[in-house]
Amino acid sequence: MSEWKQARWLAMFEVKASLKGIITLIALSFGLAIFFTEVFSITIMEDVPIVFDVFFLFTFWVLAASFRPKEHQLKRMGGDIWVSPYFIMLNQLPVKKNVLVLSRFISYFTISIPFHILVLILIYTLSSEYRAYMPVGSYLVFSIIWLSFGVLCGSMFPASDVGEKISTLKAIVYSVLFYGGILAVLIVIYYVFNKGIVEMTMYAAKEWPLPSILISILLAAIGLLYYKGYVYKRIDKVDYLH
Amino acid sequence: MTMEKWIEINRLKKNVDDFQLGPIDLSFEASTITAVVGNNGAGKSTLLKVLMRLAAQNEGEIKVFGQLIDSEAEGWKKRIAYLPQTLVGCDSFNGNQLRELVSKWYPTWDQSLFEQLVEMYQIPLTKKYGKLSQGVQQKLNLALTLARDAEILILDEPTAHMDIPSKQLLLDVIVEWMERGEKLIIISSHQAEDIRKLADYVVVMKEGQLLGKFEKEELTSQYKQYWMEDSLPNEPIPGVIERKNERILVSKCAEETESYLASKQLKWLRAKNLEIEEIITYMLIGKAS
Repeated sequence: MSEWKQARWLAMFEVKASLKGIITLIALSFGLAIFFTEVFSITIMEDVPIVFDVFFLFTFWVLAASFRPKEHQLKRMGGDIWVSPYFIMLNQLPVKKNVLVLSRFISYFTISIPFHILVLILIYTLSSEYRAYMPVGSYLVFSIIWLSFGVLCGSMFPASDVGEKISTLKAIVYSVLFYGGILAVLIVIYYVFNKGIVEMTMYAAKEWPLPSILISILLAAIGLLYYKGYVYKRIDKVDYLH
Repeated sequence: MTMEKWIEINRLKKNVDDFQLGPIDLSFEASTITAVVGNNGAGKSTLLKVLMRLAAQNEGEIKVFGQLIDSEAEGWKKRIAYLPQTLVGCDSFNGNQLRELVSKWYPTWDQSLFEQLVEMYQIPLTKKYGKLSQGVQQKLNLALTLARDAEILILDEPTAHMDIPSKQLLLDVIVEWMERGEKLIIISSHQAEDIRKLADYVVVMKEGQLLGKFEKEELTSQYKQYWMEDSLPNEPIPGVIERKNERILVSKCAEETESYLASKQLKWLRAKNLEIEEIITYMLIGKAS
């Protein structure tokens, strides 16, 4: 069996175990779509509250990862090693490194990409304001931008399964810096350009569709390759002693 | 007869925070059962994990079937069935799902052996792993490991949480498993019975260092306790590692001690071979060195 087939088999095995999370994400996608359409219809992109951008960003970044089964998420496994316990189990089996690495990404994107597509479809279906603001073609470009963003930033979650040695204090500081940093960037963009990040991508989708598609896909591909390489290197460096 | 070395460990060193394993030089041969023993924290599990490439060594090399395990080729892993002390990451799967996941990667998977073990241990395969008691989890782990029917079996504390009858059954299963062809078993254990019943060789570890690899029968024939007829002279006696009072002594080299006693015309009333756990205790408390 080819490595791709093996990786897909392993990923599907994991996806089947994530059914609870998938159902939650489907339910959540309706709630989020309603939120995004409601805020949009009230404001029509005038004075959109920053919380809209924050929710949009987190929907396409961290949400799918948050509903993965508990054992697939990072856990402190003795000392300062943070690793996905499920990854430890897989690593004990004679699964080729390539298959193991590929399966991490396939299983994550098998859940995250359909979730993101569902949110985008629901938004466009539920909101006449979005349809009026962006014709189908532009909305498709807008969707590609955000799906690519989901791949670029979401890759960090399957990549982190492999583990990291980091003290609890450092982990807390990094988390605060990470989420604080995102918020800070959003606030700066909001006040400097007087536009939210979502509005800017809508504008880009309408005005520069081709460059937007190319740049988004290129960045997603670079992100994916970077994180894949990162996992390859980390596997041989992390001690799975617990 | 020279036995074929299936696993060779040369000058292996592994640092984990302030703990240092090794340097270790060790080999494991085909058709043998080796028990790895030592105090808690001696480095037994770390050694087995480094052997499985779950942690990279700082120095030295490990060869499995003549192939360096730090190379990209990972075929050697299919030839080893490894049972860790605790299996993590599978709480949300039931036994059937775990069988599906594990058996996939072993061409040698023996479904009938798996079913036999499941029946023998009465393992509920539809219950989630996380809901099983520790003892039943361990039985399921064993069924999932033994059924791989790999050439090398590495068991890290396989009987730690088991009840007495289950332990007995397992020992019988392992003995039977050994007869399935040319096999090698490495078993880390604190259970004297495991060592007594199974081991051909005993690897003794202390604080990350290898004290040695010994043939079990040779050890048990060499370590003896003597009850002397008369008080002993207050001078060193070859091989003696402990004097319990003036008339009782323990030797780690019966031949040397007996020839000395004979030369001094010192007679003993009774002599008995030490049990393997007593011998290991002497080694670990440092009296046998």
